[in-house]
Amino acid sequence: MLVCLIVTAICLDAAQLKEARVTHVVNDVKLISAQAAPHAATVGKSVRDGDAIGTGAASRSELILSDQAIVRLGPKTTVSFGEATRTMNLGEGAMLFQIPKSAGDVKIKTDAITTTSTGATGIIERHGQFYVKVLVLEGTVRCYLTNRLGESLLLQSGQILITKPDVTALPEPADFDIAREMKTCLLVREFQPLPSQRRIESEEQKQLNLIAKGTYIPSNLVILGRGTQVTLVNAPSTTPPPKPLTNTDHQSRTP
Amino acid sequence: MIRSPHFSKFPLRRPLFICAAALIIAGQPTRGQAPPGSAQNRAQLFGQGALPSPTVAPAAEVEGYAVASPNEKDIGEQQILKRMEEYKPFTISIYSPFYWTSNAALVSSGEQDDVFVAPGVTLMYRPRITNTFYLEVGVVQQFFFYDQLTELNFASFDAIAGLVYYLPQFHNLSLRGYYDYNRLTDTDNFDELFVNNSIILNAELPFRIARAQQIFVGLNLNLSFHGNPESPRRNNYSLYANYDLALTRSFSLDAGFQFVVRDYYSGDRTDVNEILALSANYRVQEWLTLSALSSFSWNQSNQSVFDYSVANIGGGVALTLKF
Repeated sequence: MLVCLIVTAICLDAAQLKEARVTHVVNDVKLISAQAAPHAATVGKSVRDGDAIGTGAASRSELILSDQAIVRLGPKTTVSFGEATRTMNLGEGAMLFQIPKSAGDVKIKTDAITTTSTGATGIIERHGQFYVKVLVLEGTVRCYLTNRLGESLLLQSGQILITKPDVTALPEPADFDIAREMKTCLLVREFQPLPSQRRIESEEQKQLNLIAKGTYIPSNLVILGRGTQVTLVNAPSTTPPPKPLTNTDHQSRTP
Repeated sequence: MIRSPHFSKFPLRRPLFICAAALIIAGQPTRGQAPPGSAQNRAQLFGQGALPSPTVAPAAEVEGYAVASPNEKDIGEQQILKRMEEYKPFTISIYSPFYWTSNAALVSSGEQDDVFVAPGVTLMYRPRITNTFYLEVGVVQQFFFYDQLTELNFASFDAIAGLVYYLPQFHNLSLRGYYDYNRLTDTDNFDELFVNNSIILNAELPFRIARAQQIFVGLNLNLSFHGNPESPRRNNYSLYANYDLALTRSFSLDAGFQFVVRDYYSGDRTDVNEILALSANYRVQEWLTLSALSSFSWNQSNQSVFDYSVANIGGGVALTLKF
């Protein structure tokens, strides 16, 4: 009897570990699973291995994985989950991820590129077969090509990698202004503050110090949102310190 | 011609000193520990240790692919920052490899094994003339201390001056030309055993298999134009290939093979030497590297007395500072 109870408890615990939970929904967010027809995702809904979640236009969603990793999906985004929800496959769109150090190894796959980290906050975006973009706000993220031994790259905070999804060799990353990114990113501003907020602010400060030292020079090249189109803006300037984040009236994260 | 009194005590040993120096240094790891500029041995360094690796990395760029953007602002604005790398022209390296060697004297018969340590220091100044063109000036001092066969102890000093030219448009080909002054001495009184003046020409081509795997192939010519005494003077013509595999950010494996023809100026002697070197390197800090080292060499000469084979197995520590 005791053995049965222990086994049951272990099984229940294991089942829980394999689940992610929807914690924030804005507009049209659908859950797609093999067992049921696509249906609206609501706060508190569980997402299991093999499930996928998709957002429509002007929609957003947030999920918390069992190990407290946070994933926020932008509009027109599709992500599927596997390997005890520790591996996500970004089919299309953009997502912000925040992986706490205690979470272990979490992977995000997009075609040939796999992004993995044991503690970082970043954004990954994919548009069809045209491009993949990875930004790191804090921590270290490893990007590697799944089918090519040794083609691996460590992205540090403040680095951006843009490449094609079916690339055979990873290009060199560039550097971007974290403060400006944080100030303008809706996946940050329209949600609750991230648990890694202080670390991100620390990285912003480091960048400001490096700008003051002349190690970084702000360019007049800006990518305004998704995509790879670089816009020339008039005058490069350092970004002022970010304003306090504001929450929206959308459904909030459940404890 | 000035002959060292000390040298006269070891008339038969002298060529062995030269060979030993060359082989020992050849057995050093291809990065970090090999003394850049070591005279007769640069040809055997697989182009990585003494000859500085390319420093011209492809510039980080953000290029817009010609595709339609989904036109969403949700991920925010990415303002590109240009990183200004501070170029540091000075490099100082302090290193101390140690080996067990199967054939300390590099003889064809009656081999004796021994253990030796080869501490050394290298100071290089490498000012950038243009983005792809560098001047290089440096000095190297290294000692070789044997445990049992102490009569083999010697020291090697090199002073080099040369130019390095990178050609990114030709598959990142690098071309180097140096003048090298090499002086071998004993370790007691620094009495001269051999002095050599040579021109070293090197062409090296890297092939990137993946970001963490590279193969280098190269051609090295070491042309002696003056030496004293005459008998150890030689020209080295070598082809080499080196494979680097970075298993992690800190741990890498190197394997190198070198084929050298050594054409001596006197005695109608020609040697063909093959060297296989394997190393595992762990970078503890940016400035500190620990290595496990091994090298195996086979020498065939048209004078059979100079035939030998040798295995060297050991380790090493290297400290490198750039400023």
